[in-house]
Amino acid sequence: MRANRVAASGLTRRFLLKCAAVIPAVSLGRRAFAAQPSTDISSQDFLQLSQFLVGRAHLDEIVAGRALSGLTLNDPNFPGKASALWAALRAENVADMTHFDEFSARHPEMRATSITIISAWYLGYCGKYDGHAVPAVGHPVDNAQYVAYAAALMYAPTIDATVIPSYSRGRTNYWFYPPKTIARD
Amino acid sequence: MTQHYDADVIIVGSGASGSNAAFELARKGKSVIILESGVWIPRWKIVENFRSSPRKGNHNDPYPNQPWAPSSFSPGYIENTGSFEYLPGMLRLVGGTTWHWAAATWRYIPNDMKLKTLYGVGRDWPVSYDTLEPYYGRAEYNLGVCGSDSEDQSGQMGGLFPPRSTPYPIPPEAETYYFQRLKARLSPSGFNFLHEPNARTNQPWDGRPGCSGNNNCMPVCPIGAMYSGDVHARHTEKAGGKVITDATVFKIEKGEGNKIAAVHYRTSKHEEVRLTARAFILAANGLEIPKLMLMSDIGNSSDQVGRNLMDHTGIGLQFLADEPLWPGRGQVQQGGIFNWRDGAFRREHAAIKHALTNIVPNRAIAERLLSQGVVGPELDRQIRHMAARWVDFSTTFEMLPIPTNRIQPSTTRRDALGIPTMVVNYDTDDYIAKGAAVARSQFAEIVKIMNGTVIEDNTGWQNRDHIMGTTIMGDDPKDSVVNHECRSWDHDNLFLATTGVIPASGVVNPTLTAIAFAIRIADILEKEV
Repeated sequence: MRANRVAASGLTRRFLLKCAAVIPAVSLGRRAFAAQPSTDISSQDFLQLSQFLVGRAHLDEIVAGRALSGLTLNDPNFPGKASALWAALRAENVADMTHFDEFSARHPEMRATSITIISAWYLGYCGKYDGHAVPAVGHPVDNAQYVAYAAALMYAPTIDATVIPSYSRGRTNYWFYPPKTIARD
Repeated sequence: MTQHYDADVIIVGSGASGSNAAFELARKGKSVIILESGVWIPRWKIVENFRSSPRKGNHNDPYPNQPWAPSSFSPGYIENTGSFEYLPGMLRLVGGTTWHWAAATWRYIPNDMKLKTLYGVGRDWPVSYDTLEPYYGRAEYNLGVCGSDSEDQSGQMGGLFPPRSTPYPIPPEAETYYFQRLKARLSPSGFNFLHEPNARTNQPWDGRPGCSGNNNCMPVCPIGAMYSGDVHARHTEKAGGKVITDATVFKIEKGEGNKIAAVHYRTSKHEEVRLTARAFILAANGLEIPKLMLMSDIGNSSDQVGRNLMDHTGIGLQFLADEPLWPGRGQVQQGGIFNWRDGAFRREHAAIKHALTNIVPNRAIAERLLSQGVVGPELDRQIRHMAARWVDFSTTFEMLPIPTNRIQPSTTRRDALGIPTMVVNYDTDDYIAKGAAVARSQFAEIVKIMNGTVIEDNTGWQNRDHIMGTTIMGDDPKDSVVNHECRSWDHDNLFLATTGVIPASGVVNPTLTAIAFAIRIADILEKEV
């Protein structure tokens, strides 16, 4: 059940090289400037932007790398949009996501980018998948990209009550009883 | 002159039906060969494929899909010409589609087998419940089925029904809290709830562990508590039989006296092999078998091969109840409402099964909330609130045999081995449309009793992956493909082990019946080869 969390002590050279190999369009080591939106976004900025959008102090860097790769593969303009979003959020000092509706009312063009990033973290995939097509090896059928499974944030709110499918925490017939929180749910 | 054979019996397809027939023959000392187009891979690889897939809702996605053994979801493999896009999720690997079947193992009831006589619609089966009963018991034993020895499975709330000569090998699993609460609140209004017999053992059985509620029966049980056909493929090998993978049968060869003489298979390297046997069992599912028969021009003097395609084409309902029920604890389905499994109404409209789905609903909920732009702390709060209250019904209907609902080999498309793909024509009719209208009024009542908030109550027709009728069984060679033994009318050493023989679909999952017939075929062949 544990996410493949790595130490939050900065990006490793191997990780950066891996990103570079996957997404040549993403510049590495160059920060976006708040006043001058860039067409790129650094891995570190994407991680921080993600942390803000999903309201988590810590997120897995490996998962962040997959999310950035997938979103960029599906939309070459994504790094620029994400960079502009992060710049605007910082420039306007948006405190947290309870103010998102006001922010996106001021920047309607940034709403979709925000939801795309949040979706990747919550659902564990980005793009759209075809529910009735299966790729043969090397023959993609859609633009769905894997981001995470056990670390997908959609499971966090219920993790004490239900399993992440394919994992188990109970014994046979544990399901006869409701979760302990039933009276409060 | 002595005729030498490669095997006593050759079986095409290694799924639950083929593997059970093979095992029963092998343990009686017959030489058997199973030919499988796909590969044999271990469970853990499928589980890893699932966990790293971006297509979690696509039940075929974690499975092999090679150009020479395409799954039914391989783009273009099934071309539809009818009003309904018929696309069941069929697999090509050792063990077949029972890798992701959720393991419902119902027996048909006697009235299902006399549909024409009792209700004037569809067809009768050429075999009685009493004849099939002992084979149902053996199939339940092989699969480690758990079920109730006291419930009336016709849904009419009488005593134990249908009659059984042997108890279920394993008692039912505990009812989920979700099931208990829905039953407690809906039963007083006359909704009859039944436990669903299932091949998901809840105690050690035949090397399999008891279910521990991983909630992933579809697309793959990670621990093998749920039965899949590879169990008996393995047992067949231990009993001396042989399983050959990467062997796609593309031709069935007729010999003297209208007997089948040989099958021809092709490997992924395009090598061709001819194998002979005293008898042959086709067990490659209700679409692949008629395709192969039509390609080979065999067994079709009735012109019924590939016709009468039936499924339990269905509809769905999702709503939020007014209390936390917490679906997603335990297996993905457990039973449902069966009042309309049988009754005089079948003269007018399809039988109805309302099955309760018990899948962890977080993905469906999060996708929905995000599409509505819900973010921040409210997103987490609503995920929990809705996940606790999510109710999901998967409703299915009885389909009648319609000759124009059919599967044929494509005349324009071929797979990587040069073998034709499929063309399917499938239309729904008034019989299930009337059934669906009745079911929707029942949906409204259910939602009202649960003070529900409807999420979706107008899904349109849905696939249910229960292929029947395409090699229809009957008592007249002029209008059926096989007789009551599942023996081809045209070739007396050819048998079909498939749900495709089922002539009246009823409303229950048909796999146990195909396996019961497969075991009966093995008993018949034991005396003949």
